[in-house]
Amino acid sequence: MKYVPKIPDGDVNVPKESILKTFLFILFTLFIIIYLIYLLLGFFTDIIVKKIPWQYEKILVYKYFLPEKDRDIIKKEKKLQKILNGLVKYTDMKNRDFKVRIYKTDEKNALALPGGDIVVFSGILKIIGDDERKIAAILAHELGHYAHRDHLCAIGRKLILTLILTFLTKTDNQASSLFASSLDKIQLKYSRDQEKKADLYAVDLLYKRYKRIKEMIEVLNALSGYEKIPKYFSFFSTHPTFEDRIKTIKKYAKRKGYRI
Amino acid sequence: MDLYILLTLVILGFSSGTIAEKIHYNSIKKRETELINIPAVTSGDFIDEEKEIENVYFLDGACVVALDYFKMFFAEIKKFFGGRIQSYETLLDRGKREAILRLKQKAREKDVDIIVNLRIETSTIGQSAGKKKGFGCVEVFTYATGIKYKK
Repeated sequence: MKYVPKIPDGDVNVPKESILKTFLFILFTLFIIIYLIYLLLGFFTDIIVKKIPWQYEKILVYKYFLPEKDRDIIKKEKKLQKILNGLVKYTDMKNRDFKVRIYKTDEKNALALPGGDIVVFSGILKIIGDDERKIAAILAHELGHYAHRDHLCAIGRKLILTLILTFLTKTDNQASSLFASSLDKIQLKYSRDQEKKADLYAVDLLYKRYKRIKEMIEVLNALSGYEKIPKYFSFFSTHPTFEDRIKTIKKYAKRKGYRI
Repeated sequence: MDLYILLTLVILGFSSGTIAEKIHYNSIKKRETELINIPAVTSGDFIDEEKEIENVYFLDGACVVALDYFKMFFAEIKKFFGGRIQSYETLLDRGKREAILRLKQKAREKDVDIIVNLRIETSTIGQSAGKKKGFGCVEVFTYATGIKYKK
């Protein structure tokens, strides 16, 4: 047999198609699939959560401790409770018992905890002062979260997110960490929508109670001075920017014919 | 922040990896043409029995290739669906061809007339010892027998 030296035609082992194109296609498809799973599960969570009876929600909650309070705070809590009770009368959640607690911290926030405990941080009270209507604006917003069962939805969705992430990170690679951080951003978008809805609920409630919503806008205006995240970073935030919230509220009030 | 580091590494890996691959393939093709006159076969049947053998050599060539970040990332997401992992294919192809070229280079230095019984082996290194996270690299090792006829 005679050996004839020859270079083979073409590189059979080198793929012809563009590797970058394949890469982007797979990445995109994976994002879509994971996003759809998340949306679907999230959708069912929202439905199920709204069917959880109030009594069960109370059982679900574990006991937590707030630091010891001084007399001043107890007095304030009583005042807030009175305002809250006044608001609850105008909602369809009269059969639930809500409690206000004040937590001493410089942070400017308020929380709706499962079970009906509204925690108001003293930092926010310092800014808005003693005006009843302003305090009511904050409490009404938190009541909005209860009306929509947002606190439970948020927990449910967090659970799903953790589930998906655990499944992904089980494979323990770089790709899953990429999906993990992008899913987090989706969660934030959901959270911003909840805040918007709670705002609008608060507007309705305040109007029913006080026939005006000026204070709500004033509170948001006052808080906007303390906004930590620049506007163009709002994508990474749990709340919409105050500017956005005020705009949405004004638009809503105009549509409903409320006096501002 | 991890996301940005990861993306930077992937982009860096893709650009540097693509350039390096292009340069390497050009060099491989050039050297393959240069060394084409030394036949290398996997069987031992090609030894010309009519000619007298002057010397027999053990020839070897090795090449260690490592992944870049893009190739690794590509393989990881491809694993979700399965199928060809194109990024590894070119890498191993380069490794094999480079190792054979190094073997042929040695053969030329020894003035070998024919390379017979050529074998290619691969082994993973850098990821051994049960380490889960390690930068994958592969050693491609080729060995063969070089025959030099009496002139």
